[in-house]
Amino acid sequence: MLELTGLYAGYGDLEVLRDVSLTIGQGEIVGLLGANNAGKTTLVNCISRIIPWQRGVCKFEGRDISRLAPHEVTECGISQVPEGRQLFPAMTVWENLMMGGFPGKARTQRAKTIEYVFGLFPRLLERRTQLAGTLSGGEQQMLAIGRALMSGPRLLVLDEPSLGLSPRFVQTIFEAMAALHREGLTILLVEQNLNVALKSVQRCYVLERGEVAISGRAEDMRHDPAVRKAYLGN
Amino acid sequence: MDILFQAIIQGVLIGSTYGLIALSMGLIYSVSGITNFAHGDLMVLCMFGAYALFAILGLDPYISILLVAPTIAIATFVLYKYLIQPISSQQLMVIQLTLGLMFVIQNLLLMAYGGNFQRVPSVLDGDVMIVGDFAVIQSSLFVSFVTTWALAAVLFWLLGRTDFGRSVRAVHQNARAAALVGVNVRRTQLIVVSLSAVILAVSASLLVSGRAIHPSEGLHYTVVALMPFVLGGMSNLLSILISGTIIGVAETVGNVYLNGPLGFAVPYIVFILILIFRPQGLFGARS
Repeated sequence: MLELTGLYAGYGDLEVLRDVSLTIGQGEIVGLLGANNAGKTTLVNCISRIIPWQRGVCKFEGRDISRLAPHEVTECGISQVPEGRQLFPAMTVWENLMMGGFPGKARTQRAKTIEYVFGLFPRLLERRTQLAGTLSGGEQQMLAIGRALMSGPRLLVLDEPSLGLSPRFVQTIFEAMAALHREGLTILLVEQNLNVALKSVQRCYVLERGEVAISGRAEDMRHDPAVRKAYLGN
Repeated sequence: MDILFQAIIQGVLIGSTYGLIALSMGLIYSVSGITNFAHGDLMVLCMFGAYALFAILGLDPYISILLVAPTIAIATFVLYKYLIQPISSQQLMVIQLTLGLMFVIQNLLLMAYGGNFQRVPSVLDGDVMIVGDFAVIQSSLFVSFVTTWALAAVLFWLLGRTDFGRSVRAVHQNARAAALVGVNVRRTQLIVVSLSAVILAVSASLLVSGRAIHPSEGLHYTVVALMPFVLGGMSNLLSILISGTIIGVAETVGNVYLNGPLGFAVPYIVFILILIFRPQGLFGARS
């Protein structure tokens, strides 16, 4: 579904990603793991074209999306839940969701999709008239996911959805993610915590200093002594 | 006492139009972070556009707005797209560019029309209204007031209730997130900038009737717009309009009680006093 080959990217003279290749199959849930500063967020922002890059090719459902503008990537069917949520703080929950359904095709479906999001996160329905900036961290994360779902994506990119959340909310978020995956949504999960991530994804890539250090099935990696030693601390 | 009332009413009427100029400045700022220092000069350009259309075709400024507004909107669109957007990440360069533009416009107008004051006669010239039995106001000012608030009401509805308005607020609140949800940020900025040019052109045609215009007045209007723009919290549009009214009242009241240059200083004094006591702007920053 997504095919990224030979990506190089960076900020000015600083090269962050070197020769990164990654594929995601239809219906898969794939993890993008690694320590802080490994280049994970840079990579997903390259896919979303928030960060412009020149070398490499990114194909989505067979179509070359390497030179699209960020909003065109979203229209293609890739939706990102950015790190740190990045909501519109002075808009209500409802308005944030409406913005999520801004792209032309999604707009006609908004009433239905919003029902769906409220079903997934009933808390958002209770808070629909509240300003996004006044929500708790966990609620903000739900809203960020809900907003990303509003564009009707076929690939959902979640960048560190558990960051700064209490364990209870982390569980809510991961359960929602699992539910979305069961319904057939393809997911790319960015996560620092390998322990948590390896349990919830099928396949994963571990980034280290801007390069793919290891990749493979999560199941195998959990039992790989080298991985356990290097990343899981036992 | 009657004089005071007269001055206050006059100030409220004229000040709402100052607010409208500041509002169009605030709109640009809110989506692109750019403060346009050539704003007043663009408005004077619109005024001379009205003058030219009167001189050539004998059009009333209330009619010629239909030609001036789209022209200036297109000109601003081109200017923003080809000159400002390519350098928009460098604030200082943008400021220099708008300052440079100020001189370009001013001197082009001086070349074309010379340094004399000009008048654009309108259908409301000399027409007055009597409010109660103490105040006499020019009808053109009343028309400005009504038009300003009607335009503002449409704008607030547009920003508050429509998809387009939400996308404008989204770009203002978090441009990156707006791009991620599928908003074409650059296009939104271009539309808003053009819209703000239309508002500016309307303010120009409202102000032009009943007053003499001069090519070098642009900076004065820029400063008059900057004050409510800053007082209103730079992107809180309603408070920008109200702040414009305050500046207008300060100007007219100042001119009644203090002669000459001192009277003109009153709005600036009021501006500085407000900023000393409320540095975050009159109503704080909300969008």
